[in-house]
Amino acid sequence: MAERVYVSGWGIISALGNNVEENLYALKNKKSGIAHPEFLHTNYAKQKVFGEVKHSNDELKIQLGLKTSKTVSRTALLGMVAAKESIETSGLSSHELKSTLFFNGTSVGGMDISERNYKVFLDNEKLDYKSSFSGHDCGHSTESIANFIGSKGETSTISTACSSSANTIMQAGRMIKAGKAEIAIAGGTDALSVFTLNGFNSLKILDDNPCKPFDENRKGLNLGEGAAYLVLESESSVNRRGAKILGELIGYGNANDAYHQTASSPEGTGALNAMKKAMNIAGNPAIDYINAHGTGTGNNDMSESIAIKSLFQENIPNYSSTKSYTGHTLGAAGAIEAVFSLLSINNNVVFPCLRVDSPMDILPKLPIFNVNDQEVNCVMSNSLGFGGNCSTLIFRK
Amino acid sequence: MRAYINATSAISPQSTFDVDNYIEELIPSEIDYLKAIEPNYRDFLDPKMARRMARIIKMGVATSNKCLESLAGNTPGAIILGTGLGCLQDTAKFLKDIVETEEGLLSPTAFIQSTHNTIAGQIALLIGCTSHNFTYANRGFSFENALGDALLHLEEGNDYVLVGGIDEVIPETNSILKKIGCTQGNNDKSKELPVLGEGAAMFLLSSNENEESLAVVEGVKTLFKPNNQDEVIESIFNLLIETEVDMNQVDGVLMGYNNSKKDDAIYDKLVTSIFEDKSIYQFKHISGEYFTANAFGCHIAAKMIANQKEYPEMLVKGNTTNIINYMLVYNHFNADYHSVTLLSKC
Amino acid sequence: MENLILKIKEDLIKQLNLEDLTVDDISDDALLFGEEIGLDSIDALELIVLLEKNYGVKINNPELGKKVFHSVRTIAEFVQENKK
Repeated sequence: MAERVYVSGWGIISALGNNVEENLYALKNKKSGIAHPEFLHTNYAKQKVFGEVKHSNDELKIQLGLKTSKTVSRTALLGMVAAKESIETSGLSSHELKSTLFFNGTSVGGMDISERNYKVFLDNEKLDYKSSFSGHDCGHSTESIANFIGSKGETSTISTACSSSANTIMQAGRMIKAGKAEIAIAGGTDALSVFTLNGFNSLKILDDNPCKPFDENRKGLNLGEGAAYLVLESESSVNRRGAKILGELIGYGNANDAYHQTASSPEGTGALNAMKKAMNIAGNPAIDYINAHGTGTGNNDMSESIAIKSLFQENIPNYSSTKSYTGHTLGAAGAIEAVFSLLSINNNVVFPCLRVDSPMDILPKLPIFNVNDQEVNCVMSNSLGFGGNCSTLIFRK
Repeated sequence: MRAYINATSAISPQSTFDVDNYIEELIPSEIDYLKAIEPNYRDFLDPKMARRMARIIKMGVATSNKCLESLAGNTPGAIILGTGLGCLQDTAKFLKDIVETEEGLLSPTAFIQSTHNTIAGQIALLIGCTSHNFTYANRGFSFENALGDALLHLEEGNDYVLVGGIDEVIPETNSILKKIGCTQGNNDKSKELPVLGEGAAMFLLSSNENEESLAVVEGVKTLFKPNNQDEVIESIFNLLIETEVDMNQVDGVLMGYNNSKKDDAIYDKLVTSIFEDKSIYQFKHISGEYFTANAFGCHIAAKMIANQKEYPEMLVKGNTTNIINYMLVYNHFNADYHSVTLLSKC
Repeated sequence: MENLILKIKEDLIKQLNLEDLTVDDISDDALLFGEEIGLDSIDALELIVLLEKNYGVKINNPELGKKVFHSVRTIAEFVQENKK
């Protein structure tokens, strides 16, 4: 008998705030976190805007009780903050944590540190190689976060670009459903990095100004950073612990576009297939709100809109892109938006797409422009990544 | 969940891609680390498609293509890869470009190629596979995460899953890891550290046996940061219990000896205790050490079982086993990431 | 002009890694983004970088790019008109 998968804890840090409450406040009060960066060392600081977390690495370390002299990747620091909150909200004991699985999604890993030291390496000058590069790989961030929170269960790191943390939540869900795990912390983290900034810039898909997802005149995305984790649990475990339930993961799907390395197919085939898979597993529920991937690029918003139209035909649910608030948080996006989807369910509210002046005319329904009170039972969240990796999660009250 | 290995292919620092001349003799490496012996990719990759592909992607595509031949144009239900460090060549190139141009005018190709899931993405792109596509990048569990996921897919009802482990070395990584003290040069035997290697090992897994099936994956277990060696031993026995195989039935044990005194301690302990009467084999003298080396270990174990033979200098202790029915593959990375896999004869 | 066209062809082959093509394989008027040469959107970005780096000419909008990158000849003409 397949186990049901519940969410019993959540944690988040983003440009909107350090925890769930602060993020909810910003969302409800239309306070975007996109601005010129304070901490990212780049020549583009004055030219471009980002969804940067409003704390330096040292401030994060102090908040976490770590020595400021210790070299820790910003990706890991953000992950630690969010993972800590998710455990606190779930009420998991340190004993229970020992066997809890930890699923982390990231694309940047420790690149924020590697890139800072790369010039010194190339110039063959004196360098502390261990602190510069030993944390470079994605799995190292996972290991650091797992160590910090005291999780000793199996770890897993998924790196599928923009769908990474949607995929970790999906993976945790599949394992709990199959009876292979009882409790899992799943989500992801990514910090801003010069590498990623320059990469996206070379693809010419950045907007120098705050992004406008689903706007006819959208110019591209803003990069963001952050981390978020959900505590997922089997029904048996929730009942045993008497845990508070924030929602249920009822559907998920991953599909590959197999069209082009970076661009989505015009028909949005990958996105459509992912949404269909998720709907199928969820039992084709009525969707009250779609938290779209909606990066603000010409390509994504077009193909995602077409995919949504193909699936929902004339009955398009309310939809928006919260990337208009946070920027595109890459590997963390799936999890951050999962938290936003659950906030929507728990507060019966839907969040707007900011800065839409001339809405696109693909879909028969316009995106949401205001914070609207609305009965929200079921939310669909999309995360569509590079390499055509498309994922959809569906949560229910 | 039992799964059949219906095909496997590997590119490694020895001749493993060419199935007809599979490791006939060991070819010493001429450089500081064990570099993969690669095929002529032009033989099977359209230059138009391959022109952007970095080395690691070509390795992945080549070994995947070999595994997928038996599907005759059909696509697997999932493509799942594990890679510890991803596409280093393009990462290093893009980083260098950023430094040299001071964040100036940059060519996007290296950036696009640098993302970890590019390999699995390209494999899917080339065969038009729109199914589930995951990439794990989790240090010494990168391949094991992928394998566990693949078995779950089969359990969920997929017929075929393509799964593999892949990592590459570039001179920069070798240099950095030497300076950190994680590796030694290939010809320097003094420090008792592992030698870096690289490669791709792919598998086509299925819940259905066919006449080409090489071996069966009976089960896999992973153990993260065990407190002591006893926990490792317990994990091995737990796997045997779950797969209903007795220790007496295990013919050979393939272990991840890597020349490092510290790392090899656990292998030595097992050899003098629970594996005392077994034929003990090694594989990292062929593959070298890297995050997903265990993928190669499982690959060569499958070959040993399918062909009922061992390959050069693999036997470390004991006698060559007459018949390999069951083979355990036990490996760890840096004493933190332990995995044990049980393979059997079809 | 002919020298410029030849150089552009050599640069194209090198920058876009068109390993299986020689300069003789690329005719001056062949559609670069058509089936024969088969370039795609990533190549278009690479071409913008190439033009700026090797010839000092900038392409600031995608519409202009589409016109300029029609064929080797149109690229050469644009470079000649705009080279500083």
